[in-house]
Amino acid sequence: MRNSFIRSITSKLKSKTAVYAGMVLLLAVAFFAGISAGSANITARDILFTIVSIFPWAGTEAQVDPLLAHIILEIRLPRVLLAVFVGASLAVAGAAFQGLLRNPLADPYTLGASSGSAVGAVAVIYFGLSLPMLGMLTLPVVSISAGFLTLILVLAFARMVQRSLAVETIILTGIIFSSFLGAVISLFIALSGDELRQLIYWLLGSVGMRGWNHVYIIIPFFAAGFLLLLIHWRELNAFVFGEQSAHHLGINVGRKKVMILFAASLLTGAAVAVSGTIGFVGLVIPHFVRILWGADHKHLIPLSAMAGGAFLVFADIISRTIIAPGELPIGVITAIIGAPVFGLILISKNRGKLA
Amino acid sequence: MLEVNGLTGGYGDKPVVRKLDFKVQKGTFFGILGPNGCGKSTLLKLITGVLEKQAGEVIIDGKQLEAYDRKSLARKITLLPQQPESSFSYTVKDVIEMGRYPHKKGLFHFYDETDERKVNGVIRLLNLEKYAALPLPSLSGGEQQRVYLARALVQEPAILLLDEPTNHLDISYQIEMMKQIKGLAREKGITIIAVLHDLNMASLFCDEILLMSEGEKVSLSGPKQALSEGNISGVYNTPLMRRDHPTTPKPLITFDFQEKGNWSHNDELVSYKESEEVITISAEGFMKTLTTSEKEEGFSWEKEFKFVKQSQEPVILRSDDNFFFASDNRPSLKRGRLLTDDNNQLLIIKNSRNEIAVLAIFIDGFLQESDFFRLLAKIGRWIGENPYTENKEEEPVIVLAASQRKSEENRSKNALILSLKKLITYGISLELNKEV
Repeated sequence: MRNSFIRSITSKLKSKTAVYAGMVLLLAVAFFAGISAGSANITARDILFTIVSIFPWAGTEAQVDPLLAHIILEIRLPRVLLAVFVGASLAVAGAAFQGLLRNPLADPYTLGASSGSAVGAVAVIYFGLSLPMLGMLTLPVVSISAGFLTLILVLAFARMVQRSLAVETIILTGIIFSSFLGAVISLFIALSGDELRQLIYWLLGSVGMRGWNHVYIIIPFFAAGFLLLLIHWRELNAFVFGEQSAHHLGINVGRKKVMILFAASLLTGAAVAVSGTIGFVGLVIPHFVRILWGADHKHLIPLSAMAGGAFLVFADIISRTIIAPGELPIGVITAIIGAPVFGLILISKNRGKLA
Repeated sequence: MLEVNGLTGGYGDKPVVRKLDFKVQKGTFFGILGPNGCGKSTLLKLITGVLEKQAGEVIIDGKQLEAYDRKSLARKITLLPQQPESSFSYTVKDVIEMGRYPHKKGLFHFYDETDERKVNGVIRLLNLEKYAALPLPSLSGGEQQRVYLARALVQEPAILLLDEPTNHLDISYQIEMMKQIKGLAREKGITIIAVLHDLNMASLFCDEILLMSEGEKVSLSGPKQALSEGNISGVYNTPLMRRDHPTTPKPLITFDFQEKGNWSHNDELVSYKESEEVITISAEGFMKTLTTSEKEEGFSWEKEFKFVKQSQEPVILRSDDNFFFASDNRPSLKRGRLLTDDNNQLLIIKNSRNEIAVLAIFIDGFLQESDFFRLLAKIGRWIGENPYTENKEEEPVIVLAASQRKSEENRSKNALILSLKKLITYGISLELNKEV
C-alpha cells in the first residue's frame, strides 16, 4: 500500500506541467463559457474574432455582428475578466493568510480587512459620497483605503496586546474587529431607506455591470499583491511550521510577516472594492488546491489564482443564468457551493482520506 | 564556540535567566538540565535571539549575537524544536529543502545543484531515502523528528540547539536519535547544546552539563560531578539516588520508591518447601539479593528462591518473580535445612558428597550495598576458618538476601554481624557434625 502511495506521489510531482496545463485549460474554458453564456447567443468563433479585432495589427475586419461585438467587448469581457481577477485575488489572499497564520480556517475575512473595505464601500453608498477628481472611482478608492486602515489598526491593536505579534493574537484581534465592523454595516443597513436594496446587493457581491473601470482598478493591485506573495513562497512555507521555526531558518519573522499581510490585504481590499463581499473563495479554493497538489506555496499560489479565477467565473455564470433573466448575487452562489464543499473537505480530511 | 557572559533575560520585570556565565567548546555535547521553569527554554530563546536579552552578552564564534543578521545567524546556529506543528502536508524532501533558506540570496532563491547535493547527502546520512517522497504526516513521530533534524543539518549550522529532542519518542527512537546527534558532534564537529529532561540520557551522552535552578547556574562540569546525589536532589527537590551504569562509566539516576504493604508481620521471613525436583524458599515480599553464583549479575530483587536438586546444566533460570537456581554439574542436592534466629534465617543445602553446596542467608533489615559486600567477605572468611569446611575443594554458593525493611529499633551492624556469625557457625557444625 505504501508503494502505490509513493508511486502516486511521484507521478503527481512529475506531472506538475500537466497540472499547470490543465489549469490553464480550465481557465480558458471558463473564459469562453463566461463570455458566451447569457441571453445573447455567442459562439466561441465570435469571441475569438472579436478579441482579435481589438488589436489593430491583427488586420481582420470585423466579421462579427457589431451588436454582438459590443456585447462581448463592453459587457461580457469585462465581467469575465473582473470575475477572474477577483476570484484569483481572493484565493491567493486566502492561501497566504492560511499559510502565514498556520490556520486552515483563516481567510481574507479573518483579519478584518474585508470587513473594513466593506464598511468603506457601504459608507460611500449610504452617504452618496463622490470625492472630487475621483468620481465613480470614489467607492473602490475609499474601500481599499478603509481595508488598509483596518488592517493597520488590527496590527497596531495586536501589537498593543502582545509585542511579538503572535498568530493567535492577530486572529483574535481580526475577529474582534470583524464583529465590530459587521455591526457598523448592520447599523448602516438599519438606518438606510432608499439605498437599502443597493446596499444589500453590493454586500452580497457581484461582478456584473461594473465595466472596464473596475477591471483597470483591480489589475495593478492584483499584480502587485500576487507578485509579492509569489516571491515570498519560501517564507510562507517556513511559516507553516511556526514562527519560531521560521526564525531558526533565518527568516526575519517580523518584517516578512508584515510584508505578507500587506500583500494579502492589498488583494483582499481590491477584490472587495470592485465586487463587494464574496465569501468562501478564499477559504475553499486554497484548500482544494492543497489537497490535490500539496501545500508548497511555490505552486499553491499560482494554482490557487487560476482555480479561484475559474471558480468565480463559473459561479458568475450560474448566478446570471439560473433564474434568467433575473440575476442572483454571486456571493450567494459561492456560499451555497462553498460551504458544503468545505464541510465535505473537513470531514474527509479528518478521516484521513485526503491531505 | 559559544560564550555567555552575565546573561539576564525573560519576560517582564522578573528575569527568568539571571547572570548566567558559561562557555561551550567546539564539538562538545553540552547538556542543560534543571527542573521545570528553571529557565532552560528561555535560555535557548536568548541564545537564538528569539527573545531579547536584558543584560549580558552572547558571543557566537567570536562575534556578538547582535552583529549577525538573521540569515548569517541561521548559518551559525539553529534549533531543533520538540515537535513543530504543521497543519498542512509537505513531502519530506520539501521540508528538508527548506533548510537551505539561509544560504540563498536574492528575491527568487534558485535551488541549485549544490543545494540538491547537500540535501541528498543529509537524506542519506539520516537514512531517510525511502521517505523522501512521502508526505510528512504519514511518518511516525520518531521519523518526523529525524526529518526536522535533517532540515537543521541542511542549514549546516556550527551550533545545533535541541529543546528536549526526544520528548515524544519511545526508548528505541530516543536512543537512536541521541546516538545520531552524538555522532554528528563527533564527526562533523557540530557543537550540540541540548535541553534535556532525562537525567540518564544526559549522563550517557553529554560531555558537559550545566545544571540550572531558578535561572541560575548550580554547577557546570562533566556528568560525574554535575549529577552528584546532592546536586540533583537539591535542584529537583526530590530524594534522588545515584548509582553507576553497569557497562558505561557514567552515573545512573533513579529515585527511592518505597512500596508499602508488601510485608506483613509474620514470625518467619521465608518458608521452606520441597518437592521431588526442587527446593523452594518463598519470601513474603521482595528481597534484595546478592549471590556468588556465576550465573547471576549483581543485585536483584527476588521473592522465590528455587534450587533444582538434580540437573544436567549449570543454569539459573529466572522468570519474573523467581530466582531459579540449578546446582551445576555437581552432585545433586540433598534435603536442606532452614534455621532461624531472632531476625535472620539460614538455609544450608548439602550435596550428595556431604559438602555444603548452598549457604543462603535471609536478613530482616535494611542493608546498604556496601554492607552486602562486607557481609559476603566475612561469610567467606567464616567458612574458610570453620574446622568443618576449611580446605574443602568445593566452595558453597552463597546467597545473601535482605528484606530492606527499615525497622524502628535500629539494630547496629555489628550486632547483625555477630548474630549471623553465630548462626552460620552453628548451622555448619550442626550439618556437618551430624554426618560424621
